[in-house]
Order: sequence, then structure tokens, then C-alpha cells
Amino acid sequence: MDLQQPNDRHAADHLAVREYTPESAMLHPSTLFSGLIADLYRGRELAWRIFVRDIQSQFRQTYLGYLWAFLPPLFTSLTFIFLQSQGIVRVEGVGKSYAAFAMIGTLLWQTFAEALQSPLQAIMSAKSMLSKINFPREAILVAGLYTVGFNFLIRLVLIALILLFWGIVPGVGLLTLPIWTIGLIFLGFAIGLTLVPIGGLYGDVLKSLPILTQFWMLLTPVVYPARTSGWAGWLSRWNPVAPLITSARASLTGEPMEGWLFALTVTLLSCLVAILGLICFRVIMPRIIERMGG
Amino acid sequence: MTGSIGQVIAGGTAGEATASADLLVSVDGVSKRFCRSLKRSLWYGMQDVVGELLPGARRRSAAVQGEIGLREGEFWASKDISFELRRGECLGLIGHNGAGKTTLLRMINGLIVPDTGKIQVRGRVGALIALGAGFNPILSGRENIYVYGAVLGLTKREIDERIDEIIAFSELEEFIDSPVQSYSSGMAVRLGFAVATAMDPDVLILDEVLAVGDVAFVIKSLNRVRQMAARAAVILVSHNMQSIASFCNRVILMEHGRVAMDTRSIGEAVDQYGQMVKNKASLSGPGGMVVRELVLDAPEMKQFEGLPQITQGSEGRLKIVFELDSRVERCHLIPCIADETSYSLISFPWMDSDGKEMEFGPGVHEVTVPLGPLEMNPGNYSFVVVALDCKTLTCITRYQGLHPFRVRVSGARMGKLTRRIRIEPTWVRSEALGGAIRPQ
Repeated sequence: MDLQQPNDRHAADHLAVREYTPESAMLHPSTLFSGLIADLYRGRELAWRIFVRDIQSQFRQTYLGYLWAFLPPLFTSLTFIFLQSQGIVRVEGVGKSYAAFAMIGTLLWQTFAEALQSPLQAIMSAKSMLSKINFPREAILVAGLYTVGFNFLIRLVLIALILLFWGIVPGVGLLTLPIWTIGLIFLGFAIGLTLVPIGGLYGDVLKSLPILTQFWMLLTPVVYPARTSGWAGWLSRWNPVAPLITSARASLTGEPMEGWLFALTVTLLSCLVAILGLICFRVIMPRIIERMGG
Repeated sequence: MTGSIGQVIAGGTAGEATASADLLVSVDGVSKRFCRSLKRSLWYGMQDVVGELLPGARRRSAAVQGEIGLREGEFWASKDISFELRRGECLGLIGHNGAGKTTLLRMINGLIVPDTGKIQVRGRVGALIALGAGFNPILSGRENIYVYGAVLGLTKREIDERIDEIIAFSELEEFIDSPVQSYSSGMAVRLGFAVATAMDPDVLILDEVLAVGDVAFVIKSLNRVRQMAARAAVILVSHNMQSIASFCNRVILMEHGRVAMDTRSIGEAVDQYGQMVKNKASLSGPGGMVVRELVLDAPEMKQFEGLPQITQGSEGRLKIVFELDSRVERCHLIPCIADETSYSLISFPWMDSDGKEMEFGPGVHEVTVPLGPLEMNPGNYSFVVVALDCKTLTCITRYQGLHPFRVRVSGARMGKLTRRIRIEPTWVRSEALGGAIRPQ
């Protein structure tokens, strides 16, 4: 290290000034927003580092390695494939193969579920760092998003194999898949962020998330096609994940995309809510850190 | 007090810390409240979060003016703290556990927000608090250097430039590509220290990190911190008064969240802190010896705030009356002078005319002995008396914290002891600048 740097580097006028007051940052939205952008930029390298660290270590101490990215959803879908094949449940209107339908559905859902848990999980796993080091905290959220995206790409390989195996041809609708993927990720991320104020303080939220998402999955047309009537119909109309899952799956299987307008609206709204969520995150994190201990 | 430790040691840097030097840290009327009960603390946290998201303007402006109260079960972890710190200043923060030192550091570091007041920090902040927070145990040391470096705000290019030096400093060349979980805790801390000090901060925050690793590494790390501190404003928290005295040119003593003292006279602050530590007498060992009386006498000794106070360097005389019961066959009695941490500084074994250690049998004994010059530096001291069995050399009874006394400030110096040397003119050879000193 060059410790003998010239002294003029230290001239006080070009030093960044940071100010900490009890005043809520919400009162200065423009400063808040520019600070958010600056920290997202400042933390880009850190986010990448944390992401690389996480995926490098995620599967290093496992035997099956990256298979773990799609084993859980695969087993969930196997349950339903079994029930369907034995005639215990009968799901109609699923195209060529129910197995392909269910597997693609659960693989897509898994992306949403991971995105939903990623903000709280990122905070909890960075707890000791957050409480002791001052760094652009947005980076851990961004790193979480990278991980979700990366795991999606791994699952995409499996989806491609499924399509190949059952001879399903996607068609031009495939081009819209990135939009629905972003929609799924950002919807989960936005909802996950709104849980941070409570979930950052009370562990109950993170503990209940897996149970709730499991239940939510059953209320969403993941292993069955969207209904139009009854409770299920009402749910798939007002459940924001439903149009995204259906559109994403339709773009892969080449079926007509019916709810695409709704799906697009959800995607755009999710991005907006995610940005608002990031601003809230920025404002409340010192308060959360204060209470969470090392 | 004249000629404080700080001014003596850090003369060069203290000189730069004039009003013209960069103002790097300014803390103005800062308070922070904490809550002891976890359940309630979380609930207040919830309230604070809502307060942040939906700021009611009135409550906020009241907070800025410092008119904010405590909620039920809360206390002030820091209260009305104000100070300014310029480049070249090294501030020692001392006080008991829970006096609010760490809370203050966390606020300056921007981890938590103050409840009242304002903090301004200029320039790059380097905090040596948790060495290796963010290490992932599964990844190798090298991979972790990049991650931890990025967390601390170093760019990849900066780390690339410095990585060899970081590895060399941590002395982990052989292990750098093994996972960190295979490291000993000392090795992990060494790596953390090497990365954390690889940057060149304007404000350096050190929280009890100067004593990590083995002795060789401690010396190395102290030198590194000294180098960094020369061009930064430093805040050092330590319970080790030696490091405070040798690093700092200014000390803030905190008590119950408040600033009890803010001074450039390091000796005075250390002294004041020492007075806050109550040294209670205690005894241990199987028993057999009882100290009936122990009195220290020295010229110019006087009572000060309930404690006898002696002048540094004065000759002390110790009178001790002790009783050995029938359980004791023969024993040695050794008085020692201990500092406020009960660490014995000097022992005074008693020798007979043959140069053998004195032995005592059962009965009551009174011994009055001169101790010679008491050279301890200012602080609080007390006596430790140990009775050792002559055959087995095991401890029969050990008293500590006896007869607490203070050593008066009269020009504080480095080290635990000070011995003034009177220089004879013939001992010194000096020549004008440029010439060399020749051996005689």
C-alpha cells in the first residue's frame, strides 16, 4: 500500500460530506432519490461481489451442486403429476402434456417465490455486516436480485429440455418471456420489500413466508390452468401473480396469451412499487439496524 | 498539568491539528435513546420506522431542537454529546462498558441515526470495528479479500493493486487459497485487519481492535494504525489506558452516556477514569493467612477524594501485620503493587541476610519495610499480598485490592513506570546538524 500519498488529496474542499440528523429523509425526496441512485451506482461492484460470493458458496458444500436450483420445484410438480396420472385430481385444458405444464408452472413460480423472499433473506444473512459496517446497503438487495435471475437462467435450461422432450414449439410469443420474467421477479421483490419494515424487526415474517408462499401457489394457476368462474376465477383475476405465470407459460408453450395486458400492467406497477420500496428501505434501514443487534 | 503524554508523543501531528486543519467530524448535541427490554425495543423500532416513513413535521423539528423525551423503559445511551475533530487529532474515547462509546461510534459511522442533534462527517471513513464481518467461511481467503474489500468501499482495481501487500501483511501466504473456515480465529482477524487497513481514510474509527493476533502482529498492526492516523482524524475506543496514552492527543471520558471530560491532558482523563473504577478488596486461596493491617506511608502523602495520594517517585514505606494459623507450616509472604486491573506491576520479595527468601511460621507478624521509589505513572493502584507455602510454592492465601492509593500527576510519561535519569554533562556528545557522532 502506498501510504505516502501526496497531501493535497486530503484538501478538505473536495471531501464528501455526510450528515446524520434525526430528521426523516422523507422530507427531502430529491436528496433521497439522488442518494439512492448514487448508492446503487457506488454499490454496483459490491453487489456483483456479493452475488458471486453467494453463488460460489451456495452450492460449494453440496454434492448435487446447481441441481439444487431446480430440484425443489421439480419435486413439487412431481407431486401433482403423480396425482394427475393416478386420476386423483383431474386438471383439464393443459395442452400436450400435464407433466410439462406443471413443471414449467412450478419452475416459473419458484422464481417469484425466491424474489419474494430475497430482500428479507439478504438482510438477515448480512446482519453482522449491516450492524457494523457502513456500505451502500442497496447492494445486498441487488445481489439478491442477481441470484434470483441467475437461478432463473439455470431453470431455463431445464425448461428448454422439457420443451424438447415433449416436442413443444414456443413460437414468436417466446420473445415476450423476458418481460414476464422481469414482472415475476419485480413483483416478488416489491412485495418482499414492503415486508422489510416489519420483517426486519420481527422474525415472524421470514418464518411464515415459506408457508404463505406454498399456500399462495395453490391459489395461483401454477399446476392448473386459470379459471374464469367461481372462487378460482375471482382469484386468478385479482391475484397479481396469476397473469404473469399464465403469460410466461403461454409464451413458452406457444398457447395464446390471453391476460397479457393485465400481466404488462402488473409488471410496470411492480417496477414502480419496487423503486418506492427501495426508497423506504433506504430510509428505515438505520432504524432496523439499531434494533437488530449484531 | 503540563506536558501531557499526547503532546509529548504525538507532537508532530498535534501541532498540525490547529484551527486551520480540516474539520472532519462535527458532533453537535447528539443524543440516542435505547431500550432494555427486547419486546418493547422492537415495538419502539416499529414506531420509529413508521415515523421515518410518515414524518410528522412537528415531531421532527422538535427532535432537531433536542426536545425529545424518553418513552417508557428507555434510557439515554448517549446524551447531549458535542465535539469537533480535525485532521491530525487522535481522540481517545474512554469510559465503562455501557457508557455510550460504541453507540457514539455507530452514529458517527452512520449505522444508526441520532435521536437529537446533528453529525457531520467529511471524507472517507474507515472503521476498524468488526474485523472480518462479511467473511464467508466457505470461500477462500483470496476470494474473501475481494468481497470484504468491496464492502469497505475499495474498488476491484484498488484491491488488485494492493492484494499482494494485503496477503503479505496478514502473513497468510500459504493459506490464502484455503477456505476461511479452516483458519484459526487469529488468522481470520489478521486477514480482516490487513484488508481494513488497506485503505487510506480521512476519518478512522477504531473500536478495541488494537490487540488482535499474536505479539508480533500486534506490534505490526499498531505501527500500521499509527501510519494511518498521522493523516486522518482518529477516534479510538479502548479500555487499555496504555494504548490511549500512547496514541491519543485528546481524550473524552464518557459516563452514563454523557461527556464527563473532554481534555488534551491525557493523564488527567486517565486519572479521572481510574477514580471511577472501584477497586474492591478480595481474597482467594485455601486460607491460612490473614492480613490484619496494611499501611503505606510516603512523604507528602495526602488524602484526595477519599484515597491516599502519593507523588510519583517518592519513597514508600510499607507496614504490614499478618497472622498465620496452625495450618501453615512455613511460608513466604510477598506484597505486590497492582494497577486498576489487578495486574501486578512490582513485587517485593523479602530476603534475609543470606539472600534467601524470608520464611514465616504460625503466629502474628509485623513487618515494616522501605519499598524504594514508587515510579508508577499516574493512576490508581492497590496492594496484592500473597502467602506461598515454602515447600510446594503453592498459594495459601491471596489478597488483592488492599490499601488503594493514587499516584499524583506531575508530568505524565509513557510506559507503566517512569524513572527520571539525571544526565551528567560528560554522558552527552552533540554535534551540529550534518556532522556525525564519532565513537570516543
